[in-house]
Amino acid sequence: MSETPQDTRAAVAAIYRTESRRVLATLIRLLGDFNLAEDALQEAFAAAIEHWPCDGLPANPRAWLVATGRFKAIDVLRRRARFDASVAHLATQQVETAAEAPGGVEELADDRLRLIFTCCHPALAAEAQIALTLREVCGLTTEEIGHAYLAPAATVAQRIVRAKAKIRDARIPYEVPGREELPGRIDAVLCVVYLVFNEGYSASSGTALTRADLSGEAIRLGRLLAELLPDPEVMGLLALMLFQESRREARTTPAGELILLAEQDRSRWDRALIAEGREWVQRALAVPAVGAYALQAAIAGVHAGAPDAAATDWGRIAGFYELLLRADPNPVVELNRAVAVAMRDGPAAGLKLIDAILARGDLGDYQFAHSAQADLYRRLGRPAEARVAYERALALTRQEPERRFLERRLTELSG
Amino acid sequence: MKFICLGYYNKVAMDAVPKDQVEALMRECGLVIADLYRSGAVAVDVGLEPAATTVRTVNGRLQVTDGPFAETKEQLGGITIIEAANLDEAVKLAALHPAARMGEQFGWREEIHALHSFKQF
Repeated sequence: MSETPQDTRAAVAAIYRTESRRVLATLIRLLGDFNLAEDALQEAFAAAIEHWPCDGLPANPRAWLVATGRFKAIDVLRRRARFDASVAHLATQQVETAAEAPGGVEELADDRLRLIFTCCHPALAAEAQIALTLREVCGLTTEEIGHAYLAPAATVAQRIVRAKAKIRDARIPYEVPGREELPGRIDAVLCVVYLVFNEGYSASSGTALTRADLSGEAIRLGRLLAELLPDPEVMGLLALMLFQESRREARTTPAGELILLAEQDRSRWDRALIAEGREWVQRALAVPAVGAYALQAAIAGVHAGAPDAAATDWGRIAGFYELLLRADPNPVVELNRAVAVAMRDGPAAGLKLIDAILARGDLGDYQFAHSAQADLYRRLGRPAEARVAYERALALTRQEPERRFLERRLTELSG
Repeated sequence: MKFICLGYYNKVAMDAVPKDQVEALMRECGLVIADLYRSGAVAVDVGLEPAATTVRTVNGRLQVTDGPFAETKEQLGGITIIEAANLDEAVKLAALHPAARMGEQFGWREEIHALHSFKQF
C-alpha cells in the first residue's frame, strides 16, 4: 500500500505545524539572517509540496527541509552576488560550510532556545520582544498578533521589521547566554511569556476568543521552555500559568461579570491543568532557593487543592507570601499577604497590615488596596468606613467588570 | 567587529557641584577603568574637550564655524572603540567603563553602536 498525493500533502501540512519553527531556528543559525531564513523556510516547504508526493516522505523530513532551505538561500545569495560584490563572500562561505552536517542533536535543540533568547533580548523594546516572539517562535501571523493586541497588522509588521533590523545592525547574538548572564536573561524571557499570558487572561478588552488563544500560546511557550531549559523558575511560571488557566471558565459569568476566587464554582476548574501544574510546582519547589514564580505557583496550587474559600489552608498561603516578600519585596505582595493573614487570623489583623501600607504612602492609587481594605471593614461590621474605601477603589478602576463589581458591593452596603 | 561606546553626561548636574568633587570622581575613574584596559579589547579610549569646531559645505563652499556650544544638558564626554564578537560581548566590556559604572548622579551613561566602515583597517 502506498501513500496517495493527498496523504502526502496532509503530511506536509502536519510537518509544517510541528517542525516549521524548529527548521526556521536552525536556518537562522546557519544563514545568520532572519529574513533570509524565513524566505528559505517558505522555499523549502514549497519544494516539499512539489517533490514529496512523487518521491515519498524523506526519512528525516526536518533535516531535508533544513538542507533544502539552505541551498535555496545559497541560490539567492549567488544571484545577489552578481549585482552586489559584498555578498559574494557570504555565498562562498555558505557553500563551503553547507557540505558539513547542520549540527549535532544538541545543537538543533539549542536552536529553538537561541531563537527565544534572541527574540527576548534586553536590547529590544518590550513590545518588540513580544511581537517577535509570537511571530518567530510561535509562528503567529502579524494579523493574528495585531488582532490579539488590538493593533493594526501594519503596526505589528513594522515593529517586527524594526526588531529584526536592530538584531542585524546592533549585532545581537544568536546564542544561548553563558552561565554568568543566564539568570538575568531567563528573567527577561519569562517576563515576555508572562506578559503574553496576562494579556490573554485579563478580561479588559478584546473578544474572549482571541485572548484565550494568547494564554494558550504562553502556556505552549512555557512547556517548550520547561523542556529545553529545566530551570526551577521556568517550571514555576509554567505551573502558575496552568493554575490560573484552570480557573478561566469559572472566573466570569456568561455575561462577562467578574467572579472572585472565593465565589467561583470550583467544579468548573480544569482538573487536568491543575494536575499538570501540581507536577511542575513540586519540581520547582524542590530547590534550596525558591524563586518568585515558583512561590506564586505554590500559592495558586494551595487554592487549586481547596474545596472552597473557607476550607483553604490560609496559614500555608500566608507562609508562602512571607517567602515571596523576601524573594520579591514589593507592596503588592505585602497587600496579598495582608489578605491571607486576614483569612487566617481574622479581618482586624489584615486591616492593620493594609493600613500600615497605605499610611506609608504606598499603593494609594492602587484600586485593589482600597477594595481589600473596604472588604475587611465590611466584614468587621463598619459599613461607613467600608463605603469610603469602596468609593476610593471605584474612582481608581478603569475596567468595566470591576467597576460593576464595586457598584454591586456599594449597593449591598446600603441594603 | 568594532563597536563604539559613546559616553554621555549631564552638564547641568556636573556644573552644579564644586570642582573638587568632580575632580575626585575623575581620579577614581583611573582605578575603575583598569579591568577594561586589561581586556586587550580597547582600540581607542578618549575624552572630549568641550570646545567644538564645525566644518561643512555651505552653498558649495567649505565653511568652518565655531561651535556647536554646550547648550543642551546632555553632552558627549568621551568615546571608546572596542573589539567584540557581538553586542553581548560589547555590553560586557562597556560595563567596565567608568561612564557605565559610576557618575549616576551626573547622568553618566554609555551608548553602544556597532561600526561599519568604507574601508577595512
